[in-house]
Amino acid sequence: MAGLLRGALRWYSGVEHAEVSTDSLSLIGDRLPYCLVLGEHACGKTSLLFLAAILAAAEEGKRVLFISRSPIQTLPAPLVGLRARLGPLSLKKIQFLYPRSSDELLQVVASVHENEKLVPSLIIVDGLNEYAATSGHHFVAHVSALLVDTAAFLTERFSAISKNPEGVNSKCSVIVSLTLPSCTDDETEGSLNVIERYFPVRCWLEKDTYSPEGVVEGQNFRVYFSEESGIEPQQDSASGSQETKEWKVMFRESGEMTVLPLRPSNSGTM
Amino acid sequence: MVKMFHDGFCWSVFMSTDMFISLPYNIILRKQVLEMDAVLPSAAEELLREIQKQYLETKQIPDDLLLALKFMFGPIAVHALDLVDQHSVTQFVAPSGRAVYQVIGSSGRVYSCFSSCHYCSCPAFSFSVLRKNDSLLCKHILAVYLSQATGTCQEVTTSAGHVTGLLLAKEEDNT
Repeated sequence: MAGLLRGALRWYSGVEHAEVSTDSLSLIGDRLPYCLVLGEHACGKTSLLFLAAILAAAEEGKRVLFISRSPIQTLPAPLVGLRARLGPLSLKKIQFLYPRSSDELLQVVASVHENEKLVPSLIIVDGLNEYAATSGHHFVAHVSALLVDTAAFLTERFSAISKNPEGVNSKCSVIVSLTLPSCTDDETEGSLNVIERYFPVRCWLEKDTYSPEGVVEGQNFRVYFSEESGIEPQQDSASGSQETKEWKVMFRESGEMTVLPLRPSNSGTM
Repeated sequence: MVKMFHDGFCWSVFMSTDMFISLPYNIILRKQVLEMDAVLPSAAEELLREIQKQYLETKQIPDDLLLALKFMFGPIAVHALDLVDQHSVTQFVAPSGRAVYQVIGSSGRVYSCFSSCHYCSCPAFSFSVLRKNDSLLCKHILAVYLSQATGTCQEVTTSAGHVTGLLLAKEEDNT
């Protein structure tokens, strides 16, 4: 689901706003509809996932299942400014579930198919590491495989009933976020290797210690995508230019978030 | 099929109507195993397609393809073929179409395998595939692929709850 994340970054950055059509949000770089978002604690993963969920619901009419261990009480601070742009109907398309344990998480994902009227077309799991902390590699493989298998089943179902099998609503996508600890041990490394089997497309949020302005206020992060080898980035159907591969996300102490696309020459200075 | 011998290893070269394939599959597969995918590499997919085609015509898997299976998957190939012969693979399908495979292992224990990516609830998958990275898949997953290719997988329609239960089958349930 890298395409939806890229679309969310472009939308939030305000760049080419008029050109970000409904079709371009999902189809940009969406060869594989599963994406793993990786980054350290408090680097903006939840905000990015939340933004992707809102855009998927509001702009594409997708039904979203947002799963997290920690209940989300309010809109993440960086997204508060979007409140006026969100209609109540779009938020109703997002179902929030907060399974407390790894067993409950598995139960939630395994039973998605049971309610045929409310199946999601975007499944987000925020903070998979919180469930995996006390479970072994097998749990990590189980939940990852269950997510991928569920999405594959739903995609097949959507395609069968959709008049446009290649359209934005004819596939089910999965985004999983994982917080990387400050130091990794063999167990963590092993779990990461297991998850990466099922999620070859990754979105990295890395702390950026360089600021082009020369003054660092708040925290700055670099966002980039690494994909399965052999998959080349597509041309942007809207602007005709090569799709932006890196972004800079800046969080101010007020909670405000700024997103800037980075051109290839900019990324070299980081 | 032409057999060539080099460095003490037997390489099999065979032709199909669509492609010319030369082994060693095991080296091609090894590279792809190192990439740690949860789906079959293209060489394995080609082999299974060839098996399906041959089985459709002759109702058996020819020796050269059996040899290719052994080269590609190692010792588990024979065990997987045994499971297929014993009709150990069943696909359970819910009214919604959600499906999951159940494989009766050689010990009589039952394991769950998924349709679209590699996962099995057996201990060997957890140890050899996930932890040691020695194998791409376990014999149960390979048995699922082979039973699909040979059309010998039994299909059973069941309740949504039953399929959910099979999807949830965990490794410790089978120890």
